[in-house]
Amino acid sequence: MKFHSVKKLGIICLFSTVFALFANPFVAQEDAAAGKELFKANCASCHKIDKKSTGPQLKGAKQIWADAGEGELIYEWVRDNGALRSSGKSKRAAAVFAEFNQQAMTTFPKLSNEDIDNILYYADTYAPPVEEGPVATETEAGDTDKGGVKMWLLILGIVLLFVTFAALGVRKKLAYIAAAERGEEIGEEKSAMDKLGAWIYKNWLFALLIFVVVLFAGLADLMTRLATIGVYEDYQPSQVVAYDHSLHAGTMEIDCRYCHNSVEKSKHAGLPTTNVCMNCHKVVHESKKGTGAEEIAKLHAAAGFDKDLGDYVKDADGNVVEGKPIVWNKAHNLPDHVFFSHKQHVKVGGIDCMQCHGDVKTYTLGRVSTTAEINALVADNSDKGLIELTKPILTMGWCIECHDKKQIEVGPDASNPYYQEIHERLTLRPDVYKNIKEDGMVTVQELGGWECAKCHY
Amino acid sequence: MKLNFKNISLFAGASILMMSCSRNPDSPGYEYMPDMYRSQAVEAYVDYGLIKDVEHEDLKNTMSARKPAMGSIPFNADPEMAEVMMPYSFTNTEDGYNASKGNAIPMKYVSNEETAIAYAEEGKVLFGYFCSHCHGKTGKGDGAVITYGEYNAPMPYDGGYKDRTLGQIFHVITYGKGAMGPHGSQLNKDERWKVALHVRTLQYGNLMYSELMTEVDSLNAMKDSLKVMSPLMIDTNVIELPLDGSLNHESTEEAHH
Repeated sequence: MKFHSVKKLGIICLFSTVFALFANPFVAQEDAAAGKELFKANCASCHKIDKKSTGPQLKGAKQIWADAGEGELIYEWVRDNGALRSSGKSKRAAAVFAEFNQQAMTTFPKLSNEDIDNILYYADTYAPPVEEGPVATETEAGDTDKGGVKMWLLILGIVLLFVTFAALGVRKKLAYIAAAERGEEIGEEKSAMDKLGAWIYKNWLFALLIFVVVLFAGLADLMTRLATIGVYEDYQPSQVVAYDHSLHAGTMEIDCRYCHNSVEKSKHAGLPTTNVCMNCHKVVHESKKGTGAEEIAKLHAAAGFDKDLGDYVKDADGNVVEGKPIVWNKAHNLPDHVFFSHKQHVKVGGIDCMQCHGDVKTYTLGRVSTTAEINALVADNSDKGLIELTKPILTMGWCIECHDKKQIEVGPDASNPYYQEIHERLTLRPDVYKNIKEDGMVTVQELGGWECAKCHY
Repeated sequence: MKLNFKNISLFAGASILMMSCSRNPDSPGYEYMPDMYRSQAVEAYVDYGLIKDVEHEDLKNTMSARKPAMGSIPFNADPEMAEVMMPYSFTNTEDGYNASKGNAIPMKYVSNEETAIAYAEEGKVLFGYFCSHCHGKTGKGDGAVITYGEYNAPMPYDGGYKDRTLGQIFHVITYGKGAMGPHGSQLNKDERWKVALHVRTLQYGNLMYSELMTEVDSLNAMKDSLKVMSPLMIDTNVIELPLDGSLNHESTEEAHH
């Protein structure tokens, strides 16, 4: 009997050892998975696992608290950090609060000790996914090489040109010297102009033909060049900060109005001040591929932000020490004698940005679009009410062409009260109103959109 | 024309010279009558540094965006609107955030259910411009910025942020919180209330008008009982009431010195 019970005990021991050996990792696996879910739902908005963010990094946090001798207090901290801080029993709590600019953490009264353990276990066992090697840097290097080669070719060409002319001059001199040595009489040298005159005299018809061709080609060239004065199609000036519209407005779907937020309130669409950039870039210091860090550093310098400190640099009075403001190069230049208001066109007229600016989601830096490009967009964007135009963009011809073609909804039920008001006024002059509505539509031009003083005053 | 060394080298030289004359990509090009094109006065985003038609390089673009003077209030003929636009009294601190819980939405926005829903609809449009790229169209915290950049995702409105009141949402939009930046410069106070109403719609699936009114009424009643006329009257920056009589203590101490 005794022997049996010992045997039984042995078997139980064996089983429990095996169970412990194999089962523990399974329990741990569940912990990490549950922790991941909890982390995403509760913590991820302020914490990163392996990096300092709005709050401290979570990897190793449990160890730090344990080292401080407050391993048990971390649970209280997560559930209600304010209560723990005011209780004064935790030094670690006060330290974290001070380190993160006295920003209190959100309270999580619903999380149990087990939940918190799961989250911290997930953080401690987290391994970042391995990414592919950098491809973008190679192409960039290639581009700079190309530019360098072009410059060297140019320098080489200029050097060769000098050598050629020098050799020609030397050859001529040598010929004279040789002739003088032979005792030949050197006649008066004919100048190049004399030679040319003689040639024209001999082949006058051919010369006339060349002259006429050159004259007309020159005139045609002059006309096309004059026609480009004041036309800024496809103009894309360089900028201090290489901002990428295709990334921000395209991939990340940030609305145009987020940055150009005065477009519905002012004549100007507005360039964002650096504080608008900093709404995201106080947290985002580089893209996930590691690019853009250099450009964002320029922004931080202008805004007076220290990314290592995670805060703005302030002087003794607590004012932010700002750097030199970013000077953006203006792409859309309208002459001073033209008045244009974004508010009137966007808010009242309901014109989509695309009608004048094209598909900005495909641009990098700000750029003046072309009429041809915008015409190509009309078919695919039927919901935006775009119309096709013929004149070059940002010219007066283009403005008045649109004012002539663009139909507006005027009536008692017009979507914009501005046009309801116009309807009210026009009903006082039925003859005029009838005249306007004769062709079944109301255009901007019919409401005075072609009056000189509408834009020039 | 003979195809000799001289001619070929001349041609090559000429083409190199022509190639080297390329347009400066930063120059917009020629313009007619610069005196009519270029404003002598400094316009927004345009500064040619002109004094009597002469350009001064060192004057160009020396002005940057300026903040309005402290305490400036946008003019508004509508008294209700003017009150909404009054300077915001809650500070950008944890205490200010907690106190903003007591900031009731002006009655203008919630006078009746239809009005409130209409304002929330306006807020939805603004939410699309200013919030949805991070918080997501339905407020789940799954906007394109978050999914692309794998950045810290904001908690869903109907989850972790469900207990936030309108006053707190207003405070967060104004000053930011955590990873979110302050949006007070992009949305004025009127627009912030509208967005807050839409966020409430996302928190509960609908505006929950009757519950909202109970909240607003109790907050307003609390204010009356405290004999505080409106949150506009308190500016914690200016007035710091010594609750523990420390002011007297200090003054007596000073008298001793």
